Amino acid sequence: MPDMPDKDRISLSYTAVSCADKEAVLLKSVFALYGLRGNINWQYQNSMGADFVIIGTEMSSSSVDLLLRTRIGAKQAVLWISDASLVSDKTRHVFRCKPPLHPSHFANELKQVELFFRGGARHDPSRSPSLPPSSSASLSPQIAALREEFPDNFYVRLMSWPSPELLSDDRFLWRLSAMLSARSMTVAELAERSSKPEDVCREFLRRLSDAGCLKKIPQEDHREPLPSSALRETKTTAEGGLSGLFRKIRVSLGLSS
Amino acid sequence: MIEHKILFTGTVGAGKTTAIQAVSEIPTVCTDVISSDLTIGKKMTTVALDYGEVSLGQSERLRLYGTPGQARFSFMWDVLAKGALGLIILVDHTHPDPLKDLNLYLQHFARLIKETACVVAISKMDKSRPPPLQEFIGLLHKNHMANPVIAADVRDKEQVLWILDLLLAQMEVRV
Repeated sequence: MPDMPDKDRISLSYTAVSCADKEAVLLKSVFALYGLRGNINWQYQNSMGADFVIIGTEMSSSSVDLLLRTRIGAKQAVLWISDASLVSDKTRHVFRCKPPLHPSHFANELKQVELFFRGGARHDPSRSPSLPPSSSASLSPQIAALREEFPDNFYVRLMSWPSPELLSDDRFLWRLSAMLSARSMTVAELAERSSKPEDVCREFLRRLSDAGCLKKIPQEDHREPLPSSALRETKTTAEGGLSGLFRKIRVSLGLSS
Repeated sequence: MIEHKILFTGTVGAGKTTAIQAVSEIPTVCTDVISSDLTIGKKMTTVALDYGEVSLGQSERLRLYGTPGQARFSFMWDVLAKGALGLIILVDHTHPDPLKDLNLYLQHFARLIKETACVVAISKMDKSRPPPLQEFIGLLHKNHMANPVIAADVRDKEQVLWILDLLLAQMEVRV
């Protein structure tokens, strides 16, 4: 990754809570690396008011839920290292990494966090907590514009596979594109299936749209494609039907879900 | 035993047998014979199918089928495609006209691609020679397809798994 000119770098703070020793050491190493090479100058801050809060494996789901509801503002990003499910608070930007934490997985998530912050949702120290995402009055102009460009009542579909330059080496972007090549989806559905915040998805959709790879379909024109006869006729013993079968295939191949 | 199927197709020498070997849990069953066709550039070639498998617990398994590459065995392609969950097309970039090669498979498997999932993997990619990856993407676009197009070394298991990951990402949103 080339060094960024100083004028393009922004400074953000991060903090880490309830991390195991190994996780803490790994996080420090990756932040040190990114501090030299990335677009963001990351500074550690010993406070929950940091722009980016990392929650380690030593915190329970219920505590994380409580934390998100009471201590995390809408302009902060959170990364939770866990494979447990979250009683989702969709007003928060929660990224996920499965344990055990792997440097490349964390670095990938950090790129998404960076995309989120460079999209404009910078931390404002004077922010009021718990702003819902639809509260456009509190949004940065960039995020508000993205939400206007890709509103909830539109479907999007990939019309042409993006260039390798647009996707770079970011596996999340490849997966997102693969999903959109299969069928049209709303931003909310895309966010749910990819486990990424809606605004991160929107930012990528804008890049696809600028490259002429994307089609926007109004809700009234959307037709759900019928599943193929092969899929309709597929029988499986997997819990959850075909979704369960695909999960089983992933597990057997050693692929992450 | 319930069985599911993923199909590998593509040009002679693109690496279908190698890709299946990379992820199969069993030694791959090959039907390679000594080739009498001097134009295909390798000693052995597949005449019926390659077969590997991955177990999915006690009662299910995933079968990985590779078609013969040569078009004269295309009668086998439809037999093997029946009931497949998805398709991987491997194209050898060093062939004289890899775009024409790809078009053959896109046309032949158009219905399977439209109804299920597909990844196009360009093997032995040499960036210093044409066509660039963007032209393969353009060919899919002309065929009203937007499936993933990736340059891959199928001798590397991780890269074969990544191709399968992209295939599964498409399957998963279809249900």
